[in-house]
Amino acid sequence: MDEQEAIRRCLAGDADAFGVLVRQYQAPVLALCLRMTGSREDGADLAQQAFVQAFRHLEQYDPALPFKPWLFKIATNACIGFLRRKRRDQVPLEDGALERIGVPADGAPALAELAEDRERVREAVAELPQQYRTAVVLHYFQGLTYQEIARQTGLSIGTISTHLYRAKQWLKRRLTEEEVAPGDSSRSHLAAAVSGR
Amino acid sequence: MTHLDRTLLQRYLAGELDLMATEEAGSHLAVCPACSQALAELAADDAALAGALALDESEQAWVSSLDLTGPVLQQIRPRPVAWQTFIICVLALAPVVYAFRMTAGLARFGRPSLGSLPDLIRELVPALLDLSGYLSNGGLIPKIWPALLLGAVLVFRRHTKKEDSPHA
Repeated sequence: MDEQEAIRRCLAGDADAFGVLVRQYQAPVLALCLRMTGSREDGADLAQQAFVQAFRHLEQYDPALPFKPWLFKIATNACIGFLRRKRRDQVPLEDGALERIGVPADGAPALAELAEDRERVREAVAELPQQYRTAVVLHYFQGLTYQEIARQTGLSIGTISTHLYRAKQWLKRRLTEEEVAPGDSSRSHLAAAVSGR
Repeated sequence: MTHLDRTLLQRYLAGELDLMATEEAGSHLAVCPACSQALAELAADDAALAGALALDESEQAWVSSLDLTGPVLQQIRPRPVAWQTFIICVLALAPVVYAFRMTAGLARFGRPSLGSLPDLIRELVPALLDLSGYLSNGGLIPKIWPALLLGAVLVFRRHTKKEDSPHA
């Protein structure tokens, strides 16, 4: 049974036909939810929730368009909602911290060097506010273009571009702070730390 | 020489500029070593970040091993009414019939007394079918029927919600 046939059967009342779509897309949806949440348990729950929501709103799907982007938009929204709810329980980044990020000091290590430790990069990404994390994951992990991200999130391309730029600069600073003083996230005078290398 | 803004370079790298802006940026990059170097750094950063975020072996294995088909289908399949919920609904309706029997509806069925529980159950369906006529005459049922029905619906939803939980 192909994808469109499965959708037709689902709309006709055959819920079991949705299993075809789940098996086809569960891996990439799980991967997206894992990377967005940073947690396997939360990622699995959100992936399941995304599929259930997709089934319940299947009548809104336009068969003339590909199914995957529509499904991924639902999964992304589920993750964004989760991150927003989670943020209420966590200490967020200082308000405006990312907006005040400027060009890194001369001599600052490139992200290419700092990104060798993948675990630290993922932890740093997990510290980003939801809107920056979403842009980073959708662009660098999902490989979506700015236009596709804008369609999924409802933001303008200019905003997406700014979010990505600021997120990268923040990640660079965060990873450099970790390298200079591992485990000490209170250092704020990055330029002095970098120039002392 | 005015250098290109870093966010513009980022968009140039991602191919997100319009044709004219792309040509202008390209022309500048051809003659500006500083911006060319900045562009190369951005490209290296992008590649590094994409590589760092890609799934590692253990994550790939986890993603491949998990099967969501069963839990998803369990949540979306239409469920038969659970027997417990059915009994709860019947018990919720029993007081309605009791009240019906206690009021003017007695005369309609020609029975001056309440009768036994089997009588009540036997008359439940015709009592419900005839409810519309009784409602137009007023009485106790219009007051308590909505509350009882709402209670039965809430109990049903709570019962089915427990089955929906992915950790159930």
